[in-house]
Amino acid sequence: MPILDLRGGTLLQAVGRDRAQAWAAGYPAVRQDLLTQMLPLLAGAVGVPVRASECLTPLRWLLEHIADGVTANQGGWLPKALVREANDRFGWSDGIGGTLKTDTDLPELASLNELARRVRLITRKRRKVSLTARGRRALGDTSLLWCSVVAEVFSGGTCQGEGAAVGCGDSGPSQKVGGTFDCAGHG
Amino acid sequence: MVRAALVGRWPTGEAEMHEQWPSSDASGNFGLLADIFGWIEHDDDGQNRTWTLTSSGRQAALTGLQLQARTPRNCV
Repeated sequence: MPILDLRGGTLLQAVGRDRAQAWAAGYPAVRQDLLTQMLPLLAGAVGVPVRASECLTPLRWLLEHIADGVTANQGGWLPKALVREANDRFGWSDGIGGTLKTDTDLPELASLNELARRVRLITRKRRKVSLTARGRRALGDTSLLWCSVVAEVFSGGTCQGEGAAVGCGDSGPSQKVGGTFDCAGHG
Repeated sequence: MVRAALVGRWPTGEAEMHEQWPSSDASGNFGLLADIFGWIEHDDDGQNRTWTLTSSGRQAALTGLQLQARTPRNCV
């Protein structure tokens, strides 16, 4: 087992540095080069913007409507009434493509549903979709919801947003926007 | 500004050349989710579909990368 070099810091700092270097070291080489250059920008405190709650409104809406449980249709899709209500609320579809029957007809809702499932905010047993314990906590904790979502969306392995995040790295991630509050420990 | 075609890929230096990197779930849709959350603004001139991260999108990207960098690799 390799020995961590504390470099005069704490063990916690050394573990954090080791994890960051391991993350940045992944394939391909161009990724490694870019992320290694960005590591100093990522060393600061993890914060949540004051507008986080506003950004997450559609996801929170879905979680609130699933609440104690909704019954999926026989195909496993969200019920038609929920799909239509979502579209009434957010206006994602103009209806020209036909009647909205399931979330397959509303890609925005399907993506939120998939995201909520991937980050374990919702679960499904047989045909009943319901909030997990984490989902219930996240409904009342913007910090937890924000950190759960961004860690997933900007990962390199799932939503493929990692490349997009680095693509704007020269103008963006070093800038802090609005006030922040701590979300350490929610990763 | 990032070309829409770059989603899921890394630029290699030449604007039209990209290098793929492994993805465990191709069904993930960054563009759609980022649009829903107000993290991107579209700039479509008919030939080049591009988009820009909004201020909240930049903050989300920063936090997302910070959390990724701090996650033990065997837990990703």
